[in-house]
Amino acid sequence: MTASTETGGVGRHDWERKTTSRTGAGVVDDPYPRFAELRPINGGVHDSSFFAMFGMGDPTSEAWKDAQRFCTLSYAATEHVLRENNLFTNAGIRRMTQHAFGPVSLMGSDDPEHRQFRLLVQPAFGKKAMGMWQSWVKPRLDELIDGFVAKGRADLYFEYCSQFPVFVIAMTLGVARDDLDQFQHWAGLMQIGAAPAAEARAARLEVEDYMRAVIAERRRAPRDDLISLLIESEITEGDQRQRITEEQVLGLVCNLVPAGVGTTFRSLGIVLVTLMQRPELLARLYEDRSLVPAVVDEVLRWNGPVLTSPFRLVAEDTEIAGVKIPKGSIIEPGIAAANRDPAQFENPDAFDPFRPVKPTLSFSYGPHFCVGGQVARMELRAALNALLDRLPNLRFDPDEPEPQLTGLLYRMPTGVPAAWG
Amino acid sequence: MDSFDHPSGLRVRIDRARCVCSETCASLAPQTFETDEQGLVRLLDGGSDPEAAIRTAVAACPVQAISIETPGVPS
Repeated sequence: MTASTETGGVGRHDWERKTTSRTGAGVVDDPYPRFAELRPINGGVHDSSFFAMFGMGDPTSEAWKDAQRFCTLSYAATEHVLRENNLFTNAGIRRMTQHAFGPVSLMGSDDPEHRQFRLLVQPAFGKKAMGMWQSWVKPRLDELIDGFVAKGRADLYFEYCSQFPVFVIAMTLGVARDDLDQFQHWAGLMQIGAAPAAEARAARLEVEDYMRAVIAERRRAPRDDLISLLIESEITEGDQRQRITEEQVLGLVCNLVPAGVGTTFRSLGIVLVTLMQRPELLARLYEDRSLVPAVVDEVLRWNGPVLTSPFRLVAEDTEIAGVKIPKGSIIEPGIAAANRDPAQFENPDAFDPFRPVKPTLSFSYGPHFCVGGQVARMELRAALNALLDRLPNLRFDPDEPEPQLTGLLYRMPTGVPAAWG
Repeated sequence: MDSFDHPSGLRVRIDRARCVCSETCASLAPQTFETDEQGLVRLLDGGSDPEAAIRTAVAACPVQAISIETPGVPS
């Protein structure tokens, strides 16, 4: 752990710096050595929260103040917790996030309700809908690059990365362009742990009001967008037809906005810093774009944007790797630590896009596997390719301090000051 | 089609009721698995993926929606 008080969190606006500091930006720069030290103990099952492991207060624990806490650091233990979802339930997340996600959320529900909900919305993130997503992505990327390409330098984290996933989600949800900054502000406050419960709740209510108006409009005149797709969602089981409810649509939106915005833009920032630190690899990538998917996936393994899948509530007394876990405990499945487990990945601390293809826990595992994973991958590949197409000889801006990665619950670069040409 | 016989003698089965559309199987054994319009796994009748790729896909599925057996041999 290294302290870097002068950065005090990252983000262009004060409120962003405040929210990212709460979750460890500028406080913890590299959590991985500590994970490596603790992983061999007790089969990688640790008896505190991740924040306590780094001596920080836990901004996510308000809902579960008195619960005994555990977190996992090994691949096997993390996979076990995520797979055995009936034992390690998302009721933990429900109580923790209902102020931000509302009463009905995909992340906060358990099977069988969760499965019904998931089947309703899954097609909107799959192959059939990919063209709809793509139609917003490429024009936005080009528009952003048009804005700074002639300058020869820009901070790509603030002028590119952070300007596109929120735009894509907002446009597919029918948000007006003029309301984009407001929408991004709400999205930031709704992220788990980023704001006090009352502020997150207020942001959620604003988004719900906003979206009710959009939904009413789309019911009258559907378009080729996510919100039109969602309100038409239905599943058929035998003679039974089940239609999505407005409450479910709003619940999904309030879950999607924070989940899909921060994760994707931070990942892209981490991808760019990682590549600019490795000029030979970056030069190779300009020549051979078939490497882009492997580079993106390896960044997500090696330094992904989130530390852990959120709280699981332990439904019955159980044991993991011989460690007794009492009913009523809260356990955090540590996907970032698991992705560096030497039992699963050879030389795990090396960034190596040429390592043998192997599944990771980057998009979680089990019934709650990230529903937007395919969309996120598509966005990251497209955003990297668009830069390689138009910004030759991309490198760190020599007049700016070199950025670094930081953060605990959410990982991000301090910036991406770049020059090209 | 919810099962498929690979040339190696393996019978591959999928359980769409569990599938979460991670596309893990389709990335590991693209001749054997794909996702359909519902975002659920579907079997292809290609069969040119190596047996090892199919076994890896079975092990990697986040919801254990793929199983393999050898017909005639109790699993």
